Amino acid sequence: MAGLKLNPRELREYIKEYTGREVSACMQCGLCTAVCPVASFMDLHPAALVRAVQVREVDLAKLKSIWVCVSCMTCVDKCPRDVAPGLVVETLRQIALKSGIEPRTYSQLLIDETTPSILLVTYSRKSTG
Amino acid sequence: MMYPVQTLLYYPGCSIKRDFIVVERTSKAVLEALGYKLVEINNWYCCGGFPGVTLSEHSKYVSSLRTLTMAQMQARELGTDTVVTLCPFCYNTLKQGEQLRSIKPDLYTRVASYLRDEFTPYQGGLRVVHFVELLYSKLSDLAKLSEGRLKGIRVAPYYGCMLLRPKSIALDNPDNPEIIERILRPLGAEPVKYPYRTYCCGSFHTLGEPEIVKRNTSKIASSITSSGASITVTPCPLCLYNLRVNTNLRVLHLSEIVAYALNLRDFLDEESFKILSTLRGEI
Repeated sequence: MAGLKLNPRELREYIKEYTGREVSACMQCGLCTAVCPVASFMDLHPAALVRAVQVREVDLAKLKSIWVCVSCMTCVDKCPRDVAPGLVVETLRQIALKSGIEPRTYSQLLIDETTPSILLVTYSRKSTG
Repeated sequence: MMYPVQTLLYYPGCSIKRDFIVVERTSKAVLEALGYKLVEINNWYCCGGFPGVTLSEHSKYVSSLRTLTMAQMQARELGTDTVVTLCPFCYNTLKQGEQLRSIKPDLYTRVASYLRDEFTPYQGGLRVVHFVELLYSKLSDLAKLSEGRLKGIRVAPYYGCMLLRPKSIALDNPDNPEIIERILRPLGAEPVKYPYRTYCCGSFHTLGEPEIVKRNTSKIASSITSSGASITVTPCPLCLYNLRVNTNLRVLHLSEIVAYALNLRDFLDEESFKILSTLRGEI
């Protein structure tokens, strides 16, 4: 897949526009990662992702974390600097989706007749723009 | 009827109607026994599953605002202002849709402009509540009607995410919720506290990354097992599904155990009835 590389200035502007939050306010306390229920499945855990966004180019086409976050909002409510890493993740996910990057196609999903529709609806919501 | 009847608008949502019919049956029976009359919203739409999280997700509010518009018209006719939801995802999404006008007015104006050709957009004034909140407002009635039928049964409440986060919609303290415990006590049950009761079960990853759900539900399950509970209850159909598919826990929807406590056995599945009766016999 072609890359989708954004530098810190572009990332910061997108995040400001999408969330009203300021990533430079992050003081790297790590509370977001500590409370995240899915951090260990991410390539960049929440605090590391916010740090990456602050200081270096990020390739959204390669970033797995944005497809792992379930928007449980724990880190958003807990962040002492109101950076709200869950909203940063959601911003990056939306930019990726708008650029045509998909987490997985529907044909690969594990669906049978017992799959509750709530699972399909919520998964679809997070996999489409 | 022993209580004055209060009419409520009822929003079912997709999964309650299709996959969790017993949840609808038992919840309605319980609410009717507590003096509520439920009128289903005409032409309700999908809640949207997840509310918009960022400021650019206008389209994610369209379906919840459309439903609230329909509900508002009907609410005026019925003389009520309350919409009750059974599913925490519906509660969360509709509640955030309801708050949009007062909390994010710019976003509201834009979403409302999408809907202006269809209806007069939602003007505010409805109260979106979850089943759990209605139970909590009737604790003395629960005690009276149940006669402490669940006496001695150790129950682990599992909350999940959607009733507690973000804090703008939380129906209890998100760090230390007690609302379900407070509902269970008048029924005679002994609620147990355990560390993972608000930890995310893994949600929709069941469909694409099931190992995430397996890991998270197994953490929840071992926490419940060490708490000494003999049964788990949850208000969320998605958590219920994930815990049942991935763990050996005995899990029921909250509405089932309350229906049992109120002696509404005709509304329960045979299996849930058997589980609860066996537990009662063991005490």
